[in-house]
Amino acid sequence: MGASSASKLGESMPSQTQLPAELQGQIGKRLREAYNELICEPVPDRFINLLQQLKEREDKTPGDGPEKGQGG
Amino acid sequence: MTKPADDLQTLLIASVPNLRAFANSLCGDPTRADDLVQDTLVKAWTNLDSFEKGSNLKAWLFTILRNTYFSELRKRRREVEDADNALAERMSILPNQHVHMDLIDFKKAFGILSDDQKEVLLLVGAEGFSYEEAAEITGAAVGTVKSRVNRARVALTKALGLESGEDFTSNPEFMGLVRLGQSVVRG
Repeated sequence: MGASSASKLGESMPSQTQLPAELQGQIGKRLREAYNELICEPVPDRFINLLQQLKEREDKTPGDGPEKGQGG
Repeated sequence: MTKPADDLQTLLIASVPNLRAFANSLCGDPTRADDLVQDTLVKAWTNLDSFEKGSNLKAWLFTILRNTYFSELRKRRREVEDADNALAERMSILPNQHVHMDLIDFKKAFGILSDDQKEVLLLVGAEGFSYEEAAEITGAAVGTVKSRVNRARVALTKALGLESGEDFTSNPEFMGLVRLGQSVVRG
């Protein structure tokens, strides 16, 4: 009984310890809290200006870059 | 009627908060994070041809960002051996007054994860990408992503001192103390 059941157990077990769902939930909650704080930061003008510049460059040289922005 | 470039511009601007949060969490340096996002936006705009229409734009942008980050990191590692230590130090002295103590602890704990672990945990745990999407973004196998996420969670749990309830209840001494406590409260 000993050896065979032990190897069977080994196969069905994940190769590493899986955290209990409750702890996974706690970790996930804190991660999202910290992350959302970053997401809520206002977007610096630098990025809006950058995209405006890229677009203006595009407008001056038509057919030289993104053809269609149509997506899903 | 809006031009395609207008649509793209809108979509890219909408993705900036997430890209910045991801870059910031990954490298721990706001200035460098913003440079990464800027590089990502320029690359995305100029390589739009290589984007498959109808596929996930956000996943594509995250792929560009992490590829840029990791190739820079490899270059830097050759130049400065202890770049990681410096970053870890900076992570550990992030004073932010309106952040709850809990969150500071979490950020510190997050800082000890390896880049591989940070990356997948952010993609799956914070951004809500599926394991399959995260595998595609990182160029790793789905199984690898799953085990990295798991290892990251285990490492965080240890660093934060969150203990599994099972560990306590399987400890007879602890259960004895609990019973003792209960009887004291009741009595």
